[in-house]
Amino acid sequence: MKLLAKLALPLVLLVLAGCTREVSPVSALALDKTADGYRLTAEIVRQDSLDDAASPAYLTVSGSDMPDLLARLGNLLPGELYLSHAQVLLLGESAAEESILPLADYLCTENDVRLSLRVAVVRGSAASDLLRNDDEVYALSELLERAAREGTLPDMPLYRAAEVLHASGTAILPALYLDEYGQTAPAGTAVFAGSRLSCFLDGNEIGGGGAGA
Amino acid sequence: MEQITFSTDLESNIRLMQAIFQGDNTFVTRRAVGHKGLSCAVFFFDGMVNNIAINQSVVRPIVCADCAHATADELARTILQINDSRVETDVNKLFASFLYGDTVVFTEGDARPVVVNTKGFSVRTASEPENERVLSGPREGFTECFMPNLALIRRRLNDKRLKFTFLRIGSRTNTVVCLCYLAGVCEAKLVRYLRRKLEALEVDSVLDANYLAERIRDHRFSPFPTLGTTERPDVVAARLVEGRCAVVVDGSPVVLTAPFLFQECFQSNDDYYIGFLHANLSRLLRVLGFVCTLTFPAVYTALLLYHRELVPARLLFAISAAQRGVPLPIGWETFLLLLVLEALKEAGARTPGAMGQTMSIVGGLVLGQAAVSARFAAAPTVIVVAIAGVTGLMVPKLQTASLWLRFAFLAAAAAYGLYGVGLALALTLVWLCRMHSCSVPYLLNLVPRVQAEQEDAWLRAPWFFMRYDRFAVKRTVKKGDKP
Repeated sequence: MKLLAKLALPLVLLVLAGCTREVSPVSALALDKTADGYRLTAEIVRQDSLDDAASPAYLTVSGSDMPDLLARLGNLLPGELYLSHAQVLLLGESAAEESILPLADYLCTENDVRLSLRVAVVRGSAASDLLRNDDEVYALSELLERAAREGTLPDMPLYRAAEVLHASGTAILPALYLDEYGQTAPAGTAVFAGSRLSCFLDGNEIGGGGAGA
Repeated sequence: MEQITFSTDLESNIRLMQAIFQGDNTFVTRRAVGHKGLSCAVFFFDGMVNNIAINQSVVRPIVCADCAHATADELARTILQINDSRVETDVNKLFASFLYGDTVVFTEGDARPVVVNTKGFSVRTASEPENERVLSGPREGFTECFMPNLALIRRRLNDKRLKFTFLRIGSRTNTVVCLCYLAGVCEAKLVRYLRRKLEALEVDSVLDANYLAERIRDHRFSPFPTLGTTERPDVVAARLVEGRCAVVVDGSPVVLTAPFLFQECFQSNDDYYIGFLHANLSRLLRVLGFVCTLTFPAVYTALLLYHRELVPARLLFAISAAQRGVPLPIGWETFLLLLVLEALKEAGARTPGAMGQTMSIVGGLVLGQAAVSARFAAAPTVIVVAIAGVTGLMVPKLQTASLWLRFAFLAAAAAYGLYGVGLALALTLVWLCRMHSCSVPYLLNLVPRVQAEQEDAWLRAPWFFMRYDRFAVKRTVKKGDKP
């Protein structure tokens, strides 16, 4: 009887496994400031079968702050909001002109969000427009990574940005823009002072290639 | 057995023997009378004896004997023309020999029977064992026949220290069991320990080596083997040289060896017959295969249930896409697929020859593909279970452990994620550390703190680096152990 109980134990434990919800992985986020709060656009990865390629789908929600926005986004999604594989957070100019420190702190303490999330400021257009510009999943993160490797844009993941903002209130983040051909391109750097967007530096000014919108 | 007493009257002895074996149609009584009047009765079992030997070495000498009377001693020494005949006064030994194919001869005027070795039943040839094939090396295997099996061992070990000690076990089967060892190489304590264990057995039948193995092994409920089994005489010879004991059971082609260490699970016969570079790579693959078969389904389940952030993004998207529409949670899905795999293995093993192959193909390919198409299971889960199944076959001696621990690890993963897998691994290691075989630590040679030989542990050193006394198993007698 004791032996049977021992053998049955693994099976009983397996019952604890429960059901898993289908996940809705987010690959990138764009945050814009609106008249009555914020607008968050999420790039959701869709792949219906093994034969299909992963393709992006976009969902937009409005709210007062980041926790509120994420909660609303979670309610919209068919599956579990899954931020662990999000790699880029785009900030619109107007959103960046407010203090980004609370946002950075919140994201750093959020379990799902990776500290390596790259933050960039969108210059000259809404962040959501730039996010929707590419039809390929992770195109933006690959662009930022490549630019950081080549030295044309600063390599500033979320944890490092939060660290320097806490230390001195000053940080430089990569800037992106939509060029005259409608392509996403590096636009120099966004300078933050007192945790707020202070100004942009052109690519030429920091020695990189570039933009200058 | 009831007391049987033979008399000096031949006719009454014949009647007694016929009464004992009444109803047995294979029992044959042959009266043989010499031309000078020597009167004998020959008893044997049809099919168990060599008829030529009986005719030429037993019946003909009696018929041609130049005497009217002969005692049992004279019969055995001077009349019967055979290499092995003796006067037997112990009735139990008499019937044990008689029932095993020997011939019994009574002579007029002597109550003592003569036992003549005329065994001659048909035996299987010593072909290569199906489940212990080698790429190169000896191809002989044990058969169900006892003496030829011992001869196969002795042929490889021409050492006068090689000892064969016979015991009889089983009140009904009265099976001959042989304890083999190399005196001076094998510790006397180990021989005594095993002998005592075998002699203490109270069983009615021993039809195969496993009847004994399950009774005399340490840690009887452990899925890890603590007694070695092999059907190859070269393996037994190697084990004896290493200071182990072997137990040969009449009627079984499987020979037990003790003590059995964990490292032996990963050793293959081929390791010693092919180059050490190839052999070591194969051995490492087997170790990797064992770890893989235990942990792969569990880690897969844990990652998808609790640690999705550890899965690379594109792989996660692909797995999520494959999981879409599958009705079961990942833990149950993996569990059921593992059960299906075991069912297919069982069906394949029990189905004869070509049908077994068909069963495997139908099961593996068609059912797997159909299950994925019908959304009964996700393709990645099928792949994971298939990998676990294939890698599980790499270490045949640990198949029982793989089978049970795979499910246990899966349950731990489903309940506690990777922490559960880690805990299960740690508990398994603790369990292995506590095990011993005939008082020899089970992980001898594998754990650095145990002083032991390393030439043939995780890896096999080239033959030219092996020392002469490299093998001898060091036995550590523990408190409370009574060898």
